[in-house]
Amino acid sequence: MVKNMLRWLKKSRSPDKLKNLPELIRNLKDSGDFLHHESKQKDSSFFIYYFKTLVHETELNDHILPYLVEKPLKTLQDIPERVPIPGVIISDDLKEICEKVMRGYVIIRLNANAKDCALIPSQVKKARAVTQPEVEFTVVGSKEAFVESLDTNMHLVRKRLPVHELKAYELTVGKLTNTKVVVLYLDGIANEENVNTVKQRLEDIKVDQIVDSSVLMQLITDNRNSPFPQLIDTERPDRVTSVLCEGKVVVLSDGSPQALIGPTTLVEFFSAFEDYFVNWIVASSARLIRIFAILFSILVTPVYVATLTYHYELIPKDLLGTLVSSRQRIPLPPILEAIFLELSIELLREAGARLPTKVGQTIGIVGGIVIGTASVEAGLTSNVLLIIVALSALASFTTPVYRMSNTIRLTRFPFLLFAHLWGLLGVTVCFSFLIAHLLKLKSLGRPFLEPLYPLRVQDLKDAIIRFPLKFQNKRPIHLQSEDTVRFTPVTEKEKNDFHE
Amino acid sequence: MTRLFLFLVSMILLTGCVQKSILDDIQMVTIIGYDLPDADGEMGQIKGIAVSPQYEADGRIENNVFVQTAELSKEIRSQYNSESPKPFVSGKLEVALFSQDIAETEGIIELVDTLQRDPSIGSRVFLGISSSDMETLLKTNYGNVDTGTFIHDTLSHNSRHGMLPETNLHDFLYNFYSEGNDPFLPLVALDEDKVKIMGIALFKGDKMVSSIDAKDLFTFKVLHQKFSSNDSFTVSLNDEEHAAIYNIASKRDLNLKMIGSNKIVLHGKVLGVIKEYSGEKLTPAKLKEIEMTMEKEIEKKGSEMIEEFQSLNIDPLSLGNNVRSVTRGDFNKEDWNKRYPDMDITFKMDVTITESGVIE
Repeated sequence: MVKNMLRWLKKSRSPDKLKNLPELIRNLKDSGDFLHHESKQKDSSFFIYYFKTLVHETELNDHILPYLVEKPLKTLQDIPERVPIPGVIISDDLKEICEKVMRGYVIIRLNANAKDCALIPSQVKKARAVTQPEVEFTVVGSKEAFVESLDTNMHLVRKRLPVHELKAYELTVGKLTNTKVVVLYLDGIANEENVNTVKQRLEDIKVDQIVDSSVLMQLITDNRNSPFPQLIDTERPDRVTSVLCEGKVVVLSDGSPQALIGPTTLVEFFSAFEDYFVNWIVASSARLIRIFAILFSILVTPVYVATLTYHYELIPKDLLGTLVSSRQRIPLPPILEAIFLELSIELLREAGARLPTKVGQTIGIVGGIVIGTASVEAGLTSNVLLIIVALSALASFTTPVYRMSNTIRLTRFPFLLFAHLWGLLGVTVCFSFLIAHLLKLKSLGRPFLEPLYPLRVQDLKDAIIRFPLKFQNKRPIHLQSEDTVRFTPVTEKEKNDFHE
Repeated sequence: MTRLFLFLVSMILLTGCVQKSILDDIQMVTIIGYDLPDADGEMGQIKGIAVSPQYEADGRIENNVFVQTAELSKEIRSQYNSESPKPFVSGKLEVALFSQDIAETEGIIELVDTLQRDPSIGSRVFLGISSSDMETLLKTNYGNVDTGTFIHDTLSHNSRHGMLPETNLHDFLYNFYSEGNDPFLPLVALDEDKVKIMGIALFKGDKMVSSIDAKDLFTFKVLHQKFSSNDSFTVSLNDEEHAAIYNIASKRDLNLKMIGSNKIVLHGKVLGVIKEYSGEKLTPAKLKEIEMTMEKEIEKKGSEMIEEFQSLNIDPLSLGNNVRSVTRGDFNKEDWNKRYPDMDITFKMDVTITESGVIE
């Protein structure tokens, strides 16, 4: 019984198994939302079939049907001439018919046994309106963010880059979802090798469903076993525009409000797009603070554990009293104390992320204040460590790319373990492992640690410090752009308007 | 894969080799004092007094004092452990004190050597000589503060900004082992509930032979090194007129050109500011007079000091070391030691007063 049903399912799903158009239509009639009816006129009649959930019915009634009934239809060729809608196709290819009808085309047949039919596009385009970016919100700058509709997203990019060099290579990925994926690049600027790498990797994907670009990201990334993201995802069309101009490749996927950017480097994960909106001094100091915050976030708890477990000599004598007296009543060794607190912060974060926004806020307050104070009062953790853990959690959220902050928080745990086992030596060992791993990483085949390693002095203009826009006149070396010069800086004549 | 496996295995196995010392499970000694045992039949040769602070959760600091007598200084530590609930560690040692008795009779290098050999003890530990009874000094409660830190801070700020020349474990060992130097250490004593710096103790080898009183330390520091401090020097012009001169910067120049004919000229230069003046009006002539008087006084004191050093055949001013540095070929230490007591050392002082107050 079950076996039969499965076979039936298989049969009904694959258009390859169906022999002809009438059989396909019979098959489609299994769905309740598939409408079919016959229009009988004096001297001509035609059959019309469509999915009412995919078709814009007002458009069908107002702009398609009137043209079909005004004069009798002789052949299918009359339809594209009469209906003032571009994209009407006449086909007898079953696969194409099936695909089109599933995307909201209307099938018109002249008689019930005809092998060919006309396909008129009349899709309903329902998309969320363009809203403010939520993940990458900036105070200044554009307030538009990508939505789930690929067409809207393409529009957002195209209107910012009105040049014919902007190419959009389209393909469908996913055996069942048939997700439309677009590779965007600027012809003559983006490196051809990079573009081909992305195309190749996308074409090689063999999965049944792509529901979000994050899934694509995992499938086309260079090292899938690394916790570090090797492609940046963004919801800002202006950021996409900006990286396209640099010569990067962007992947947009239907149904996902996130665009993927590659090739990228580690330092890019620590530069917010807002850095380009403010003066270079302000932007650079923000970047320095962020880099400090990352190092602080990874290292401070492990260093606390290492120092308290092995290197009491390193503690300044003025701090000694504070540390010892805060740990006086605590029964746990520093490592358990630290893991206990780190885990509770992770719990809070996870609980907050799974709950609706309003409840999430309450969780934050309950967790932060109640659990923190209570565990100090109960003598489970020292208040010094509580401050350290809270600060390092806070510091991990300064990364502008959300994915990276998850990685940073995760990286802390091996460091903690090593700190407990080997003290500061362990921290150093773990740090060398981290550096070795980062050195090995690639993003679309380009070095991930560039411009720090391999050291490319020219690319340092937009790495740890963002130099003034005047100096950003060359495209980054690591992109191997086909046109390396962005613009020729004009030296301004200095006007002296101070009359003394 | 194999490499990763080996790494993980070695990581787990090697953890057994590291010794943990969790901060709140150790007894940190911050000051240690060595004294000769009391005469009434105590066993052993050395009495060691260790003070370890205990930080209470409510912010109080209690000083635990451990007193042990042993044959060797190394034995003392294991004896401390026998009466302490937590293992003793020496990594936070701030000060090591030696009683004047021990410094004068036994010498202290053996004790200093144990400190130096312990890798967890830093070379910036302060050494000092105490003229009071060590046990009383270390058992005294100096307020809600750990005794080691208290004495360390007293010595530290005085050698950074005050009258003491810089002395620590490293300096002591350098002066002890290098040719043409003799070490000196601060001399402290208990003054009711405070520790007072009485001066410095001068060593010949590792034995204390003499001392300089606290009021002469200004002169000693001028002779010894380049410095600037908050210390002041009082000049008395006559019974009524006194001036306190605050030293901004001082410099010493050694003239060793005439070393062949056994002559050394020491030039001291002081830039000063008058902080206090008890006379009526400070005229330029008066300033000149103050300068002259101060020069003369320091010169006199300094020359006396140098003479004393020569008669004891000690060289805390490291003149020998300076001579060695300008000697071609091998420096003969014995030869120098013979020459030194009869050397003609002249001390010249030059005082410049740059400011005498804001209101003229």
